[in-house]
Amino acid sequence: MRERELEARLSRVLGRETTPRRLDETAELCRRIVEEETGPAEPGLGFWGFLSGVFRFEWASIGACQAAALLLVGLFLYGAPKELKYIPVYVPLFVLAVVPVLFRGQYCGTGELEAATRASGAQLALARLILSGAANLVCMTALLWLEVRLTGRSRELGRMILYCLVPYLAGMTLLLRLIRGRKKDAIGQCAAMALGSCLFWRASSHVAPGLYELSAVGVWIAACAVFGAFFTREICFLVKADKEGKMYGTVV
Amino acid sequence: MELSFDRLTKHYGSRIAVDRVSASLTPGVYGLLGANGAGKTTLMRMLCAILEPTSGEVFWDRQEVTAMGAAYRNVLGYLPQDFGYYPGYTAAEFLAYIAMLKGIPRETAQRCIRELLETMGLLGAARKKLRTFSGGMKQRVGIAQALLNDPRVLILDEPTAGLDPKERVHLRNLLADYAGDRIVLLSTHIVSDVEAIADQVLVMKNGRFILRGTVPELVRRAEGRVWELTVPAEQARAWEKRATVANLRHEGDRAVLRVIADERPSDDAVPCRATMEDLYLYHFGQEA
Repeated sequence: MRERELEARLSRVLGRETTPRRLDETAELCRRIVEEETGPAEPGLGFWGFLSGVFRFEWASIGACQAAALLLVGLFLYGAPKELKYIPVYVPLFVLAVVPVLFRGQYCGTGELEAATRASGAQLALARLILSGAANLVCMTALLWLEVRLTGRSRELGRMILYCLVPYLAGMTLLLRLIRGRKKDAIGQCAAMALGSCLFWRASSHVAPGLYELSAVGVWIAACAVFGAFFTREICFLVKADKEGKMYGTVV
Repeated sequence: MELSFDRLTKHYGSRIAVDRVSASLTPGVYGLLGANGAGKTTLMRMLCAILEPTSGEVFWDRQEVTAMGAAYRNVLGYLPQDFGYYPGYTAAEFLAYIAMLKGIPRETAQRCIRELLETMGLLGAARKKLRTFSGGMKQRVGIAQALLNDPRVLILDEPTAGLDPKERVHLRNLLADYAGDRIVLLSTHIVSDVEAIADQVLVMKNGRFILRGTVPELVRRAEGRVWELTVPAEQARAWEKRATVANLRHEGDRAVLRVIADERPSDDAVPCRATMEDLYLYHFGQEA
């Protein structure tokens, strides 16, 4: 008798369709239980840990590119007339030396593989940019030191710094803009842009020699501020993409 | 644990690579079959969140994957179809580099790399430069890098390409073991690989899933459409032109054909048991 009653009750309960009211809450609870059972995830690397990791693997290629650019610039400096107006002609070569580093994944075909890792494409690009930028600073310091030694015009170091910074910021801004534009042939475009910049600054020293007079320092300061602002804006785009875990540049 | 996608679409200009595909994947091995250009790679790239869909969304445990960012990529292992490598790196260095990108601490990474190199039969070649590796060895390094973070979702695009039969069997067994409580999605042209390990098969054509189900379910769909007939050897070519011939075998001056057709192709044709390959040819025979 009791069995029959039980059967009847069970069939009533099981036969009734129920609509789950707390589905999301239950799913979240299940997820938490699974996480507790499998243990907390191993702490990943922070950004600085990641940066040092990228440095560990990429210092050789970054160093080789920048050293090659510095060697080339050194050879030009010894051969060319010792005038300050030629400094901007050499600086885009350091921007050119950043291109192989930033496009390394795309060139070697590892971009897709790298993009599917914990480090987003943007994070890797940012790390490579920071390391290349640091190498650029070292190389440009070496360039200035060479320039001071060859020309003996240490009093004009401020102008020399401006002649380095303006072409560098302009070149890097254009480089980042081209990468962000996700063009298929961005490698070629970036290389052409850097070499084109060399020609542009060479032409400017001939067409507008007044631009390199002491009286035109204000123009250089203004240009530095403008390109500095554009460069900062490009870096902000990159940092934003990194924070949102997005791709940066062409991956596939 | 669930990887789902809802009306996922990708357009390249006017060309539709993936057209409103939806599915929900739970732990197990899923085989993605389709001819070249069917949309398999595009779909896999969208599932890995490295390609932005034109429309539709991908969810991991009900959370949208692009919003999850690194949290999703932490549970993901991916082997692209044509992946490159840094030629100056050794196998161990390359895996250490990917482990670093995956945020795996150095000590843990060293342990994992050793284990994976051993599993993949590459321990002896760990210190050799990748540029000296054969295609099969490179592919095994690629599979090893996908497994580094012990992913919950493993997406492999043509993982058996370039592997010899022994390596293929080894990989199949490895994936079957690995899939226990994980989601493994693999695309391949080698139907026998899918037949051997896939719990579920998704067949793609023109950017859409045209079939899905277990291997026996799908094979059943081809039953009654596979025929064997014997013809004079000189007629074999003509048959190949007018029907989908899955196999041709010469026996003296006669040719034994395995023909795939909705109707009995000739009076002396006898029905025979279908396989996954027959089903594949039934749908893609004309394209091939």
